[in-house]
Order: sequence, then structure tokens, then C-alpha cells
Amino acid sequence: AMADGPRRIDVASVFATNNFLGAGAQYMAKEINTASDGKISFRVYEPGDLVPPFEVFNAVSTGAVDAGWDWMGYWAGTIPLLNLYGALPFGPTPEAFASWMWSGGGTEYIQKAYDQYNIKVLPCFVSPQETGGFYNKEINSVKDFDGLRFRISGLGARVLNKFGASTQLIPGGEIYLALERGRIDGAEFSVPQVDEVMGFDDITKYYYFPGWHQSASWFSLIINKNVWNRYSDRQKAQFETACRSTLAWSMTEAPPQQMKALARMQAKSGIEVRRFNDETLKALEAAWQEVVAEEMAQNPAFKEAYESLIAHAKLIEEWYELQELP
Amino acid sequence: MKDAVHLRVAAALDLASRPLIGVGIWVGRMTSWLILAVIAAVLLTVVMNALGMNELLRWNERVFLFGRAFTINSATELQWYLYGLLVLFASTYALHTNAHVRVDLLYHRFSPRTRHLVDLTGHLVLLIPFCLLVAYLYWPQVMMSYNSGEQSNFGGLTDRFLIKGALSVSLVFMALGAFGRVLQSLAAVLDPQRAARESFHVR
Amino acid sequence: MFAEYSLPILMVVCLLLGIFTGYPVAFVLGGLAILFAFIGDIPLPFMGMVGSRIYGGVIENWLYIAIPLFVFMGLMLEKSGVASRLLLTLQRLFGRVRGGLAISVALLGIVMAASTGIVGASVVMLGMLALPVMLKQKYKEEMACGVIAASGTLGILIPPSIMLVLMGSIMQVSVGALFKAALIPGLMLGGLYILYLLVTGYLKPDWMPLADKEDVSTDTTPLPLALLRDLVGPVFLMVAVLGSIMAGIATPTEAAAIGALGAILLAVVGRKMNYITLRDVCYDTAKSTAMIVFIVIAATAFSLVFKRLGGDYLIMDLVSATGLGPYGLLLAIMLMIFILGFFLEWIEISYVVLPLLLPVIGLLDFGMSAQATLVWFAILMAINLQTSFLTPPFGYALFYLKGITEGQVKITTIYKSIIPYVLLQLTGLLLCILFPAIVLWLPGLL
Ligand code: NA
Ligand code: NA
Repeated sequence: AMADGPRRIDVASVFATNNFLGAGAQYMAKEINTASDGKISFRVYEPGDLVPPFEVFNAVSTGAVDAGWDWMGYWAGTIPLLNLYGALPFGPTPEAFASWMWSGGGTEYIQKAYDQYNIKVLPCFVSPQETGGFYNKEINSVKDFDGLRFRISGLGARVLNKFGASTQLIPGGEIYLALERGRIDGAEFSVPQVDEVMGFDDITKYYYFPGWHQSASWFSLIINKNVWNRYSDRQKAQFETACRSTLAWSMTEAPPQQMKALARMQAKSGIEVRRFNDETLKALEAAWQEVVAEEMAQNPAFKEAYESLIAHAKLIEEWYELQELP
Repeated sequence: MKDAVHLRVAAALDLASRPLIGVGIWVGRMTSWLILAVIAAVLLTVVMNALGMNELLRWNERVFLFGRAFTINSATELQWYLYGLLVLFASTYALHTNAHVRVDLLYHRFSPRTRHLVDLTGHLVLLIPFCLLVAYLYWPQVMMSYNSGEQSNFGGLTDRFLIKGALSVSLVFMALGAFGRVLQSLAAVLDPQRAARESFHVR
Repeated sequence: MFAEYSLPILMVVCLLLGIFTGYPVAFVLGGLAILFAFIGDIPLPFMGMVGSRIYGGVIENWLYIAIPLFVFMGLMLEKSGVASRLLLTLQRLFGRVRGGLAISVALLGIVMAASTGIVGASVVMLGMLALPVMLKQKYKEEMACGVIAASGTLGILIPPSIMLVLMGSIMQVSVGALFKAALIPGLMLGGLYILYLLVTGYLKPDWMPLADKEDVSTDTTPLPLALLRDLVGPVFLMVAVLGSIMAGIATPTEAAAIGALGAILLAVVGRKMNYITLRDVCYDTAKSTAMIVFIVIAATAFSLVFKRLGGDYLIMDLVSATGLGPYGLLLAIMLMIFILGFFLEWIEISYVVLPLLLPVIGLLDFGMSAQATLVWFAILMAINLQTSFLTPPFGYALFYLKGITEGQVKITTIYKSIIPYVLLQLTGLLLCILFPAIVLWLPGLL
């Protein structure tokens, strides 16, 4: 049998561990400890404690840090395919996406992309659909996006650009003030549970749903392969077990928490919860089809994975339609 | 022969230090002007935002650093690309102009010769190892950034390896500058009159 | 108990010895990080993180862009003569008021604090504007330096503040609530500074002398007119910076660039703009910025190694060794943060120590809601961390000030200058502990 790998590995988290997104790393640390009978333990570091959040991928790749806990979309500047996993507009639900990941080949596509960076990737956490964002202006049709200054990242930004929105980068620390003073008209950040802490509800009028730009987003444990390969097959299986358990936790824990957070925000600041109207959503989806066509033309790896995902999601949809009760 | 050997060595060391120091000052002064470009880039961002503009220009061919379009996020990222270059190379300039902060409680009572000994030892034991080691260990990340074509995830600038590479390059540059100062300080230690005669930092 | 911590302790000792040789502080920090990485047998790949921390934390973190922009603005104002004319006129105005000049520096510091949060930028700008004039007026060096350094640090407490944003995310408290909670304590501290200046002016008139008659009387324009004339420029600039933030045209960082442009325009209007002026301002901006940022660069290497060698556990063990009741423990924690503040940066303390303390704080009962306890504690921490900018040997505000005096003022003088203000900070902290309402009233958490 192979020798056991290192007992302790350092995990640099890109989210503070006392918020829901970073808590996934702590949960997984507990699970791996149990599964390995105490032979593997994580020391989870807070963001910036070892390396700044945006440098985690490079640090794990070069072996400066053993492992990282990330939102996969952060690395799309290096691996454009990750836009699909981080924030896919009008994508499938977390359940359908998870099905594709393990029974439709989703994990293989990313592992193939990560191989050249010497990283083993374990997608272990999925967050529910995010929100449509905080706005100080009403959005009654896509015309209202023209000239709108909005903080959003990823492919969703390119959809809004089609309607003339100015989508921009504002550093985390300045979003609050930029919103309060009207330097930007709105901002999309995360799920209600995480948004609540930022206090954006105090300074904006509307909280829009649905989060069309991101129907499910994946978070993962990434491990430098030199570290990963030192573990025996049995231990690698223990990692997988802990990973699946963390995934199940994230899927079951999250949805009710969001509604509770939303209720707290409404009670505290009286923010108005709204939905984009169907017309707006249809127009956004049509624009998304243009964006995704452009992305597929530029990026064959994205095309292959995206088509596979959509085909897989369609099967699931058909199954539920067949089973649907009135 | 009028001069003793140690004086001739001092003169040679001093001569050897001059190009190293000179180039550090020259590059530092050139990059100092980047502050004007930083101001321009920030103002451009402000104007584009005020007008609700996302794109200023779009073209068909992929252009170095700018990709296929100049967006408001290109302007935003240009701010810190320029600021990064400014800061990294100004560090060496600050070294030659003695702008780095010292706790001069005792230092201002030292003789010029002792001051040179302090700086000389510090550069050799502390500064040069720091610069070289950090530059060397960061280099794989520069290469990784280059090989992966790392770029903005917000439709901003491409070619991230440029600014990452500037980090390693500027630290090596600083080590060279510090080495120049070591030679100059050695000259002053060997020839105390030189230490008394000359000012060792430019304004 | 401390045998296992010999390396982190030795590291701090070497740091102190190193900086007192007079070798530049930044290089001591960076060099010791590398030396102790070898002594502590830290694997080389781990040290690869230093570069990542510099890139991600200092270069790509464009909040720091405000530093060169404000430095540029300050230098340009100085060169354009606008600043000195204003201060000369203020001198006429306050020429008959003891400490009037120092009080206007404190007021300017409060205004800058409300517009930005970059301590380096505030200290440098206040220093360049006011120090030459104060020294010319024969202010005791300590009086001049103290008010500049202290007022310059208010920005990290008075919102907007990066520190509060970071604390909010670490503690899971609404940033909006923290901003509201910090406002009154921040203004209160500014008020305490002014009170101190008034009292000192009365008790020690020769520390803050009135301007010489000859200096003042060179300008024959009637005072109200002179005031109007000399205020136009600076007020224009203030409106440009603050106004662009308030009107939602710019973020605080961007406003700094608007200020820089404004300063250029003032110089052009005042016919002081030429190639030499512009060149000198650019050169000096680069030097001052590099001086500030290189300390941050080296400190990030130092703290990485310090933690890796167990420095963070050393801190934790020091806390848990006490065993006190709620208020006793709170005071012990505050004392510990205060002492840590002598050596570490606020960001290190926030990230390393705060998370370790949170579980402890959550269990303490001060007779208020859990939310209120957290907000209150966060503000107490924030005041304490603001103080860390001022406490020797590692008070960054002091270094920034030293950096722009070009050797005119000794660091020991600056160290001495700050003592009264550190005592005022502790007074403010104590008031907030005794009267939580100062913190909790505005956010409605009473
Ligand atoms: Na502030
Ligand atoms: Na301090």
C-alpha cells in the first residue's frame, strides 16, 4: 500500500470562514478529519492571512500554499472555461448542475483544464442562485439598463453591456460608499445571507430577483498536485467522501437561510423586494444567447462543456416535466 | 606613487558604483512622470462613469495589453498598472535619495564612517537578500501568468504578466542599486576623507 | 511557557535592535523576514507567498493609489504658493489666538478624515501644508508634529474607513452600522485634540507662540479681503474633492485624482506652473510614495514569517493566560491590542487577533444585545488600532511624517510629540468603555 500523505495541510480560503461561503471550508475540514480518522487535518487560513484572495490559485499552482478554498469564477481570467462554473447566466439549477458534475462529466472538464496548472480540483460546495442585485432605480424594462452604472462581474456583465449598461469594478471596500453616494446605481454581490452583512439594504431602495446572471455557483477545494499525489488511494477517497458530504450540506443548508436573511433585512431597513418582469427577463435571456454564442466561438473548451451541460440539464428537465403534478 | 593601495581601491570602487547608482536614479526619475498618467487614467474613469459609458473604443485585432476594446474597466486597471510601475521603480530612487525612513535616534550621532558601515552591512545582510529572494521565488508566478495568458476577468486589460514581471524585475533592479551603494560605502570606509568630502545621496 | 515561542520573540527583539541602528525601517523588516525564514527552516516555496502578497495586497489593491494622488496634490499646492498664502492668512486670522494654527490643522484633519481613509495620505498632506508654517512661527517642534500625526490618523476611524469595512466582514456585523457607530467617537477624539490644544495654548503660551508682527504685516490687504482671496483656491479644492464624493461623481480614491487636477489648475492660474515645478513635484511624489509603500511591502513579508513561526499563537496564549471577568477581560484585551499596536499593523491585528477573540467576546455579558456587544467591541478595537498608528516604535503615521521632514525633525522629537495624543486616545477609549451610548446611540442599538 502507498504511504499516507501529510497529516496537516494549509488551506487558504478566499472568504472569511464566519460567513456562509467560507464556512464551507470549515465544514469540509471537520468532515475530512472524521473520514480520515484524524489522519488528515486542514488548517484553514482567513483571506489575506497567507496570500490575498485573488492570488490563491497561483499560489496553489506554484506550491506556495498546499491548498485553497475558492469560488471558481475568480480564476476565469486564467481559465475562461470557469465562467461556466462560477456564474452562468440562465443556467440550470444547483441540483441539475450537480447532476451534470458527477454523472455528466462536469468535473472531468475542469480537471482537464486544471491539470496544466498542477492542481487537483474538488468542487465541494454549491451556492444557491444569487440575487438580481441592489438598485436605487426601478428596472421596468431593459431600456432602464441603458447608461446604468452597475457593479457586476463575469458573463452577466456582458449581457448588461448589450443594453448599454456600464458594468464596473469597484473594490469591495468602496462599494458601500459608491452606492450610498450614487457613484454607481446598483450592485450585485452574493446571496442574501452574505449581502446582509454588507449593509447595502440600508442605502438602496430595491432588492431585485431572480439572479438571472448566476443560477448556481461552484466553490471548490484546490490542492497542489505534488501534495495530492502523496496521499494513498484510500486517503484520496476520503477526500472525495468529505467533499460530497460538504456538497450535500451546502445544498440543504442554504435555501431556508436565504429567506430568513431576507426577512431580517426587510424588517430592519424596509428594503423593497422585487422581481424583474417577464419581459425584461426574456430580453436578457435573448441577449445572453448572443453572448454565449460569442463565447463559444472564441473558446472551444467552453463550447464543449456548455453544450454537454445544456444537453444534460434538458434530460433532467424532461424527467421532471413527465413527473409533474398539477 | 602618492596614493596608498587602499585609496586606489577606494577610487576604483567608487568608480564602479557610479553607473549602478546613476541608472537607478535615471530610471526612478523617468518613472516618476507616471503619476501624471495615473491622474489621467483616474479622470478618464470618472468621466466615462459620469457619462454611463462602458466602452470607449472597440477594434477587431487583439492588441497588446488592451485586447479588443478599451472599456471603463481598462481605464480602472490601467490606474494600478501605472501606479504599480511607479511605486516599484521609485523604491530604488528613494534608496539613492535617502528617502526611506530611518529611526535616527543614534544614527545622527554616528560618524560618517559608522553610518556607511551600518548601511553597508544592512544592504548586504538584509536588503539585497530580501530583494533577490522575493524576485526569484515570484518568478514562477510571472511565468505562469505569461503561459496562461492571464487577463482581467472584467473586460479590462490583458497581459497580466507585465505587471507581475515588473515586480520581480524591479526588485532585482533594487538589489543592483543597493550593490552600487555597497561599493560606494566601501570606498568611503576605506577612504574616510572621501566620506567627509562628498554627499552620498542625491536630492 | 514561552520556550516554544523563542523564534517569534527573537524576531521582535532583532527588529527593535535593527531599527535603532538607523538602518531604514522597511529594509530591516524585509531582511529579517528572509533571515528568520532560514533560521526557522521555513520551506522556500512558502516564501514564494511574499511576492503574491506584494502583488495582490499592495499593487493590485488600488485603494493605495490614493497615496501618490494626495501626495501629489499636497506638493503641488505647496509649490503653487496657494497653501502657504492660505496659512499666512490664517496666521493673520489666528495670529492673536493661542494655538489657532494647530487647531486649524486639527479641523482640516477631521475634514480629510471624512473624505478619505488613507492615513499615509492625510499625514503627508497635512504635514506638507502646515509643518513649514508652524515651524516658521516658532511652534515647539513637538506641538507641531503631534497635531499633524494625530489628526492624520482620524481617517481610519471616521467613516468612510477601510478598516471598518474589513472588521465588518470579519465580525459579520453590518458595515453601515459600524460606520454610524464610529462617527461620534471619531468626532469626539477630534474634539479632545482641540480641547487639549486650547488648554495647552493657555498654560504654555511659548509652546505655540503668536506670529511675529513683521511676518504678519507684510501683507497690507485688509484681512477679510485677504481671507476671501486666499480661501478661494483651497475651498475650490475642498469642494472638488469632497463634493465629487458627496455628489456621487467619484469614489474616495477617484476624488484624490480630482484634487490633484485641481491643484494643477490652481498652480496654472497662480502662474506658478512651469517645467521645473512639475518635474520636482513628480520626483518628490515618487519618493514619498515609495517610502510609504515599501514599508507596507516589507511589513507584509515580516508578518508572514512572524505568524509562520508561531507569533499568532504567542498572542493567543497571552490572552488566555489571564482568566478574568467581562470587564477585566475586556480591559486585558484592550491592553494587549494596545501593546501589539506598538509592533504590528492594524490589518494584521484585524485578521489574526480579531477572529481569535470573537468567540471569547461572544460569551461575555455586558447587559446589552449580542449585536450591540459586537458593534461596541468593534469600535473599541478600531479606536485602539487607530492609536497603533501613533505608538512608537512602529507608528506608521510617525514614519510618514518623518519621511516628509527631510531630516529637519528627529524621530525622537516625533516620538515625544505624540505622547499627549496617545493619552487622549486612551481617554477616548475609556470614555467609550464607560459610556457605550457614545458608540451605540447613532446606530440605534441602545
Ligand atoms: Na475616513
Ligand atoms: Na504603533
